[in-house]
Amino acid sequence: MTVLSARAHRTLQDLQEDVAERSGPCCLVSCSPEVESYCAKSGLSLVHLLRPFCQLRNVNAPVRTVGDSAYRIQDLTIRVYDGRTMYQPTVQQGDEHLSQVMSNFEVQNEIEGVEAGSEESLRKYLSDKVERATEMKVPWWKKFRHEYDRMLLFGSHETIDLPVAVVIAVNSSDPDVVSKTKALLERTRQEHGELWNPNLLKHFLLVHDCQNGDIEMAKRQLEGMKLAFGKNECHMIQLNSKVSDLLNGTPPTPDMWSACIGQSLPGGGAGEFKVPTSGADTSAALGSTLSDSDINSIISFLKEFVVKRLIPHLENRIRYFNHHISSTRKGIRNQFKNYWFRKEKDNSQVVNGEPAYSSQSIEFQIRHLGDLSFMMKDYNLALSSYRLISNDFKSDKAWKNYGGAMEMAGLCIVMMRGSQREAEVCLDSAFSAYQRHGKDWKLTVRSLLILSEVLVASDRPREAIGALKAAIIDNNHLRAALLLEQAAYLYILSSKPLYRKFAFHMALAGRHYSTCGNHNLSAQAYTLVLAVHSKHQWPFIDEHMHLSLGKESKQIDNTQLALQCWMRLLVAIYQPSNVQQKYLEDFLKLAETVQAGEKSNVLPLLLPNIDVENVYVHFDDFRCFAAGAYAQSEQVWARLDERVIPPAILSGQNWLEADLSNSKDYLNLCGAQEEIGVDVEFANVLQVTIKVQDVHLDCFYSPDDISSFRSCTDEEVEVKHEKFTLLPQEKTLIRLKVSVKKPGMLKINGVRWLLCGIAYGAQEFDIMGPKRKKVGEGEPQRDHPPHRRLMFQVLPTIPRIEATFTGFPENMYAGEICKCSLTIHNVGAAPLHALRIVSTSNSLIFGEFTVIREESLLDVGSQTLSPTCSKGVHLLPEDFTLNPGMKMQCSVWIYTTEVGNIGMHSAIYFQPTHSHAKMRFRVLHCTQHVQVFPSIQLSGEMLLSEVSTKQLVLHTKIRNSNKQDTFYVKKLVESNGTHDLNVVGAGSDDSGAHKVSPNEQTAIFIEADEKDTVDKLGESIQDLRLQEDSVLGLEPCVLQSLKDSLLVSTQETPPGGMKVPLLVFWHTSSRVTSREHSGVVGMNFLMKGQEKPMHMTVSYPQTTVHNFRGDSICIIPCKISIFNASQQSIHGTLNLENAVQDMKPSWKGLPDKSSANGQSIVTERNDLLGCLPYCWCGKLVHKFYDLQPLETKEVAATVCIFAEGCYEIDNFGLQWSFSNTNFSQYELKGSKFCLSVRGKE
Amino acid sequence: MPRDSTTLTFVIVGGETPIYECEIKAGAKKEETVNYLHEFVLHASLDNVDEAIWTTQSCYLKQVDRYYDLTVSAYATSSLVKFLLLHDSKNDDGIRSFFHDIHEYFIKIMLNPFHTQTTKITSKHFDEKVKLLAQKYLL
Repeated sequence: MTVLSARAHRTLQDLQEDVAERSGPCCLVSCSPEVESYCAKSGLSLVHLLRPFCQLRNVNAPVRTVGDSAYRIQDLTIRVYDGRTMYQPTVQQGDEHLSQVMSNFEVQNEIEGVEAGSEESLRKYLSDKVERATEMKVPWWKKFRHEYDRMLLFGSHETIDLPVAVVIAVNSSDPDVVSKTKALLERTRQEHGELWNPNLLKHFLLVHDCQNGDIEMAKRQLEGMKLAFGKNECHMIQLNSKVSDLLNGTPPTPDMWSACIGQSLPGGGAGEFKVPTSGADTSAALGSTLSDSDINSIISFLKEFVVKRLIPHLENRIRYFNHHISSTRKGIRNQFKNYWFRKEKDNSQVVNGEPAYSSQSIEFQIRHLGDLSFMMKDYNLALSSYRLISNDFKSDKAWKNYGGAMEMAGLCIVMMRGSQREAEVCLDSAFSAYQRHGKDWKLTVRSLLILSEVLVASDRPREAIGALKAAIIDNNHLRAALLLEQAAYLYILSSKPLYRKFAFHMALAGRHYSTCGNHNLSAQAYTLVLAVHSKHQWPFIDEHMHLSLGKESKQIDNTQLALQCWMRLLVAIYQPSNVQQKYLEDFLKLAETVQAGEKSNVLPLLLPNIDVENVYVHFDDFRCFAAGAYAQSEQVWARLDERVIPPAILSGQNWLEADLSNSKDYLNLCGAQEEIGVDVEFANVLQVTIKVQDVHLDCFYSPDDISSFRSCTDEEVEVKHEKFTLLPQEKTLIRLKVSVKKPGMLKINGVRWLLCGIAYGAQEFDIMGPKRKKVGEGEPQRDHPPHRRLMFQVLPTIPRIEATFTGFPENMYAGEICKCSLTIHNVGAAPLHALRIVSTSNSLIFGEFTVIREESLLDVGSQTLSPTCSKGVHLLPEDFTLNPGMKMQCSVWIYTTEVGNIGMHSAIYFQPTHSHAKMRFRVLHCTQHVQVFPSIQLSGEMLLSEVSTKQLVLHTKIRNSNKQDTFYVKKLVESNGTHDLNVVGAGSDDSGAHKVSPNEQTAIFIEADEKDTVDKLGESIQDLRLQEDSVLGLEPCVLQSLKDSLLVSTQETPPGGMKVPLLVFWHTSSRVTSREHSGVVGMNFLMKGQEKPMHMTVSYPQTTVHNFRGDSICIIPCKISIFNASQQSIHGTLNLENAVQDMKPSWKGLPDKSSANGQSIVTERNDLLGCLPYCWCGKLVHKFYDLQPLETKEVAATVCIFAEGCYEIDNFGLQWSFSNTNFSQYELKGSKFCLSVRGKE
Repeated sequence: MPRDSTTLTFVIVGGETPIYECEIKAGAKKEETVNYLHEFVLHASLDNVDEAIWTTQSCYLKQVDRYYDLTVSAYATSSLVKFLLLHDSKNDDGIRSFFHDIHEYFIKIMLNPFHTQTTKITSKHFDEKVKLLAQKYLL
């Protein structure tokens, strides 16, 4: 029967070529034992020797079958079989053979490039295969398809595999060749009775062994044969003419034969011997004794045989059968006869409930005619024959025969390129006929396979999948697996590839492969499935596939792959703990065998789960961090650094001046012998407790640059090993440490560990970050901030300090001043100098430093250093050097008005005495935390006194923001020392202190009078008491800093504005700490310039005694002070309006505001008298220019009084404007004041 | 309306990843194999869903795939998040209503600006609602 090549993807033409090739005429070969032995010299049998040359190209032979016109056959393939092998093996034998063929198939390299878990690699693999459409996707399917069809050769219901010719081969060495030939022919006829028919074409072949006898002799023998059997019926071929001369070095004959030798079955049959080539010299390479002339003789024999003998013979047979059939079956008469009398014909033979047709029957002949014309490529004749006979088979209910005929009819249509639909209908009916027959599933499957191939060839893969799936009809797992696998590939071949369907069918195929014990193919199927499922995260599928692939890999001894799979199972979080425990145990068992305790053989374990994308690197470059300081935000330190680092040292380090070509923004700096810590998070996702040991960083070291990293030795790098136990679902953050002993380069690659004492695991860090644009050799791909960089430049030893605060309070009140001490220790191996210290908001104030010499127990000769302070930066003398191992100590005063959990950050700057180009200085960052409770808060406003421009009134509101404690305000001080304070009203208790209860507020008025002498603040602060009741003991250098700190929280003074800084001293007995606390809160009272820019006061004698009798005019001198409270200079005019001048006769009416309001206040009596009560005299208009802010201008004026009495004087005013603006002019009326003049008797 | 399904599994798929899974009824044979078989069938049906989306304007795509007696019905939101229901009996109207009501709850979940298409839905409230709806329409 036709053997279709099983290329899943091919064109219709390919299909046709394959069908034609595999359905060629079949020849029976029978040879003498001597001939067999000749052939065996080259490791072959005669049929195998002939097979590679049986495909004849460009024959160009004319053929005329039944039609009038001849056509030419170009290519013809004949099939040669030994007569002893021409029978069909049983179904069971066939299945066994197939499963053996498949299990022997080497598939190791087939899926090379496909990684379990990468869809990209799968797509690439498949698309490569699809592109190269001529190639098979899976070679084992081609093999299977070939072997499957071979198992169905020589079927009883088909005639296409019946021999049409017999070739009798005899050896030339026999003296009587002719009689031997006759005997062999006779023997063959007897041996193969069922294959024999008298009309077989007989051909005689004389085989000459060149190593055995003379060629001339053989030629004479051939002449004899020709005389006996006919000239054209005899041929001679020569063998073994190749001289095995090693010296000549003849090139070996190319192996053309191995592809043509089928695998033999234990029971024989299907065209192959039971045992491969009896007596063959298996050690010899196939065809090694054949020379080119031998091969040419074979080729010419076959060509002449086919063209001159076989084709004419087949033409004759076709014509004969056609004539015979036409006379009995064609025409109206015969049709009727057939219709009526067919039923009565005795179908004597019945096999398996279906009629069997003998070779003499007309049905057999019609079928044979169809097959012969199919061989001769007259597909029209073949199709009509198949159609004709199929009706008969149908009416006889001979389903198997019917199926065979329809199958061939379908193929005829395909070969003719007829209607696709018709071909499908034929193959469909073949399928249903075989199903009706029901006994031989193999035939059913074959018809479906052909159907699917036809559908694929016509580019309908989806329908082909349906056909393939329908072919899974019995419990043959191997076949089911192969069919599902093909179906899966067809999903990929669809116009839009369906990868998920592919995966599903592949998984089913893998399962079937596994069931039938073919673990190789099963493993490769599962690998493909995993490739699709890698990123889809369907948990159960992932777990199941890994488990299945792991089991299969174990079966095929691929423990490495099995281990990989089991490794994935360690994250099966959906499973109950007992299953997880089992997975873990299995994994460890496997790991024990694979790794064999070797440390270098590490696995990318997923247990414990490591957050490789996020790590925190602790290291000291020019910025060092004390404990707890890492956690603070970058801004805090940036602000401190800005203040503490002298600008001079940074010159050349800004972006303008920096040498960009040398900038390596992927490198961190650190000193040799300093510890680098990496915070890594380990998580146990399972519900099983695991032990993790030997956890350490995986580092690479390079003595010079980043291109030569190598694994490090103990002399260069010291890594610390950690171990811990993770409870179910536990997460832990571990700081892994490494220190480099020599200067060079360090790269931290990842982390390694030992799981449960057995499996060595490793993970590489893959820190997230934006991609770098230009990546040089060895440089990281991504950009990272310093605390995530894992590449270090290790500098030679540089100094390093540790700062320790002792006695730092845990809690304090806002405004309280506490004291603690600071010890600075040079723990590095190099001296340092130029220390500078700064703290946030200047809340820490540093006193004098004392150098502690440990060797001298007595504190003799201790050096004391006073830091100078500028803008909150405490500087130690430049020439002071702190040598390695030396310590120094100082007192620190803490003051803050912020409330809550306050971080007191400080930065300590220093320079190595021998500075390195890359690290000229270092800054140590420290953080201390203190809980600050609220105390009192000040608010209020400053008013100008109406009495004098030298006096201010401070309206102070004291609010207690603490919810528990009562505060007592004891003392109020003006910190500049320029004003005397005088509290209006007494205190709320006996001692004169103002008591402020929790959440209450008290207002007090304070008169502040300017004074000439300036007091020192120090004395007031000295009165404060520390918690321990010791005297505060402020050092002189500290005093100014403290003062700054006290007022730093208050509002900034506007430039040129007026301010009165007020300090309020308080004390309380705390309920929280059960101690006495005292502190000080400051506030700047600011002049509110905007509301009333000009202020005018008059100083005058309140009561004057004057003798009007003696002198009728009383002259009273006054002083008018003009105060500029604005922030700009002003100029203006002071008008002392004289009542006489402005007097108007009509004053009695409504007073005119602008001019005569002065008089309206004068008593009625005076008005009636018509005399003036008073008037200004002297200079009446005063002009002044550029009165500066906060400046006072005093103007002397004189009032004349003419009679005794009490006078309200208000007719004066000031017209002014800001110096820098011309337009707007303002007017300020003088406020009234009273002059009382008493007459002197 | 036949409501005798022995297998009912509901999955919401965003992108390629299942973001919500609910096994309403596990099937008659409670074996280990069932879980992954159901996942396989549902996952494979996504290929059919991708095709079915472009053949209709409605969100409900009806039955998209079968594997022996297991049927997959699908529903695609306008953001191409897919609801899949694996069942083994015919109950077209019930499934349509079930999907429709789930969609409303799903939109509420998606209103969260931090919820992307591939974020797993872990809301207990949503889970309860799905089970209630299943009780109402499917069981």
